[in-house]
Amino acid sequence: MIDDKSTRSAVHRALETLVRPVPELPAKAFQRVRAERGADAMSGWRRWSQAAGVLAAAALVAVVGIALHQAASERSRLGPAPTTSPNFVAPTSAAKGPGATIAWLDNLTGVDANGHIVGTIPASVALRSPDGNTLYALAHQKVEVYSATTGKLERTVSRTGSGDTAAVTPDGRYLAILGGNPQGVEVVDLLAGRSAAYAALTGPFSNDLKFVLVSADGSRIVAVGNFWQASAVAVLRFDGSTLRVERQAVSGQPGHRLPNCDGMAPQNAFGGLPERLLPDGATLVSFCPGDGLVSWVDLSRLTIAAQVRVQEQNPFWLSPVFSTGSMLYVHEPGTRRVTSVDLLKRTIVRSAVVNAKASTAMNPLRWLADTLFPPAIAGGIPRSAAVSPDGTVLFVTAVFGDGIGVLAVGVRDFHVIGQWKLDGGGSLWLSGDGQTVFVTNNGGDRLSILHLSAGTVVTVTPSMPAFDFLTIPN
Amino acid sequence: MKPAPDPDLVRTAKAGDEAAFEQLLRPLIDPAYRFACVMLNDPGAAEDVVQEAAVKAWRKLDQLRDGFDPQPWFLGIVANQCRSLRRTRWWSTAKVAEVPGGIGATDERIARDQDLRNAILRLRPRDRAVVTLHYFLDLPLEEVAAVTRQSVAAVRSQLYRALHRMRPSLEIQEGLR
Repeated sequence: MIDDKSTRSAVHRALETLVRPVPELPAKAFQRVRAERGADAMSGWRRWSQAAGVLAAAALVAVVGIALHQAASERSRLGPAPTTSPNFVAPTSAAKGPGATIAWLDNLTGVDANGHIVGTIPASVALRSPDGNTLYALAHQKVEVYSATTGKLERTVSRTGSGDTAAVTPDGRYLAILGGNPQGVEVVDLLAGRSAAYAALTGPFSNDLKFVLVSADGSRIVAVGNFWQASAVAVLRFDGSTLRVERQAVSGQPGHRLPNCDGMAPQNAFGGLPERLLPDGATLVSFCPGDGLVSWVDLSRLTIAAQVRVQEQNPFWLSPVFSTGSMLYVHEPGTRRVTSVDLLKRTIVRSAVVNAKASTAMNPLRWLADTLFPPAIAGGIPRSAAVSPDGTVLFVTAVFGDGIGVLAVGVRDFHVIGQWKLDGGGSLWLSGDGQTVFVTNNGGDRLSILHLSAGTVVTVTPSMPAFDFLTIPN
Repeated sequence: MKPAPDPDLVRTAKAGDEAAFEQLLRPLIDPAYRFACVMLNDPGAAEDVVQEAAVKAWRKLDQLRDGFDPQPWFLGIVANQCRSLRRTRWWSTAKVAEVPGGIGATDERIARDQDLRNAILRLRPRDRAVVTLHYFLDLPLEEVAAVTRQSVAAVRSQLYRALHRMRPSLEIQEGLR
């Protein structure tokens, strides 16, 4: 049991370092108020313009209120049964383990396809193994290993560092952990149950937005730090027992231009950041929803080799998904636009608006409501798309004429091959076997589970709000 | 126990008295700044937010009801200001704390404080707000409810959920005692 007094004391100690004393702040604040007061006194007409602004804003709010009310009414008219696509055959896969059929929500609760809660993990953040069977939670000087099927703690593995960002090697044997103090990359051998190697890093790798990636053969590890400003990248080589830094650079150093993303990333970002290493292990690809830029970084020279820009209307809408192949799909729920990018050819293959087949009775003001109040969490992006295990079908959340739901879209021609209405349209996750789609609603208090083959839906209410899922690395 | 605000001071400030307004707001600046520092994890941005909130407080002073504690009212303005800034700057929820003590500091306590700090910074903004207001600014639940405009019961349940998420870091801290 955690008592209130010790919690208070721990929180004080932990947060005190975030505050930089500014004794002159009251004076600065009052000076600012005086300046505003003086400006207002000199410009009486401004009060009239403010009043006009308030009236205009009130009118706008009224219009949007009507639009939102209409939208809410539409949702409330949704029946319990979805519109099914009886001929739809979901591509399946046996490549993942049985744990991959369990959805793990960002509140670290596991839910199976029938809506039963299989367990809850007492951690603040976790990531999933590539086969989907295991969850790893980083704790002080240890990694806790949980079963994704039951949520039970299976074992703990010791570690020496205090990094807080991790990636698993494709074979599931090693965990690369970035960060800590002193900062560095630690490789933990999950099979042997001990720390295997460590390499210190210099540069901005501990703070701010960072991530770590592992190549397909597990021999190359790429650490990226300070991704929201002047990014730093380090390339490391791991041979099973030793880890060494091959090269590293910070954006802006002579000869090094690296992408950044102004801090925009899905919440609970383990395994969900829009970055990946290409199969050759020599190229890093990143996507930034803030500006729509896809960047290819040559890891031998540590500089951007190519960039393309994906069309966007609102960066809070863009939900990037990397397929199991070398494709990137970007979905913009607000405009229903899907864009595919060939990561090997470094080109945009197709970009088109994808609509439900019978898009009727659309609320004419919905676009205005969506524009002003995009269905996203500030600082985060709903994960609104997923690719089937064989890479041929893209599942996206969609707005129907009288509700919201899920569309299945062929990745080659973007034709809609299946559609289902659901009571939700926040983040979406496809089970590892490709048979079940889980969708949160925007309020985080409802989870809809769509069985693709049967066309049936189960709706459950999570015990704690849930907005997103822990993805399985591919 | 905090002293009750002087009703005359509020009335005088609302009547346009500059000195009274500054006297009213001065003790609120520091807690507001501390709150903004945690919400934004950026002291520079927190300074801007508090200054902007002070201007807004002056403009909205007539909304402060007589007899009401100005602190929750002002912190509410700061919370809104933080929210606006987060929206406009695509603020990251994944941004974590700066490491105290500089590179090379290896003290176990520092590392554990950092774990807890990161756990708090990873909370959703609304959860982070209630944790900060209650455990860092030491506001009673009633005032946290007033700042966040929800019921005390809702705040209590939100705190419970947030602590549940932070539990591993907190238990580590407990173990150190």
